[in-house]
Amino acid sequence: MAVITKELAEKIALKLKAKFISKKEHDFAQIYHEGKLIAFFGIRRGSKKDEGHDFIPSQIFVTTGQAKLLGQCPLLREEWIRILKAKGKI
Amino acid sequence: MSDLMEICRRYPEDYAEPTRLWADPSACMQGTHWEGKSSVSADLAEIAELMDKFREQFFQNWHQIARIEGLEREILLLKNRFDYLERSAPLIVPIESFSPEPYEILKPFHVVVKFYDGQYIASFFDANLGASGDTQEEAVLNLKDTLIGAFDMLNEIEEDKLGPGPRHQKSVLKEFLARRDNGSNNERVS
Repeated sequence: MAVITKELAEKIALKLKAKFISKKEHDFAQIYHEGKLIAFFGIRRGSKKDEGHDFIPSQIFVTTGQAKLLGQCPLLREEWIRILKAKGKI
Repeated sequence: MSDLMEICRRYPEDYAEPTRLWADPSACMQGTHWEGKSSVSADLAEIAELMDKFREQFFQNWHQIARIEGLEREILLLKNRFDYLERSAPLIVPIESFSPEPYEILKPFHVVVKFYDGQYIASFFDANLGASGDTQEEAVLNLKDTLIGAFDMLNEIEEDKLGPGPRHQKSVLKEFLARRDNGSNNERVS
């Protein structure tokens, strides 16, 4: 069973206030901060809601556990921004 | 059984001893008076010996069966472990074409496919991009679609609006692939 399901990936995108853009078979969740695209990830269109998207954590520069916390609420967008700043991704 | 008792009673002189033994079978085990008269006591001793041998053999077999069952369980565990390791061992797949999509490879590259939590994840580490699928092939196809989508998407955004991560991803993608203007010529758009 995947840790990051499609359903959780969508929740992460909403939590990070992502803007969606559709490409051929994927919807790309673009995350902006101060007018700049700082991260993005693809969500496979038409996939089942429990379909695995475990590649997402590395694309938003966090661990699988932190990505899960983002989707499930305890980790806030602001805290995620702080993590990215600490890693030099912003 | 009652008929047999009746016969013994009717002819006591002939069947006195059998009648006595019938009434008290345990006497068979003690009766020294049987010695030389009949082979019954010898047979019973043999039965006891056979029973001992049977018991010994039974426990030996039982131990062997238990050992074999234990080994079978261990083989099954090892087989499952081997299957898991075989599936989870990373596979390196060369990417040499995006056909039929109108993209060309400027420089062949490799992606890594690994098994993770019931799914396959294909990753192009240089560009920090990945995709998953139920099979290795599906994961690679999904990654190709992601690479094309990300390449187009990043090209639509001005350079100064990209953070460090996406800027790096864009430069890596531009190094490895290009879009053909139409399906036939090799004119590159980047």
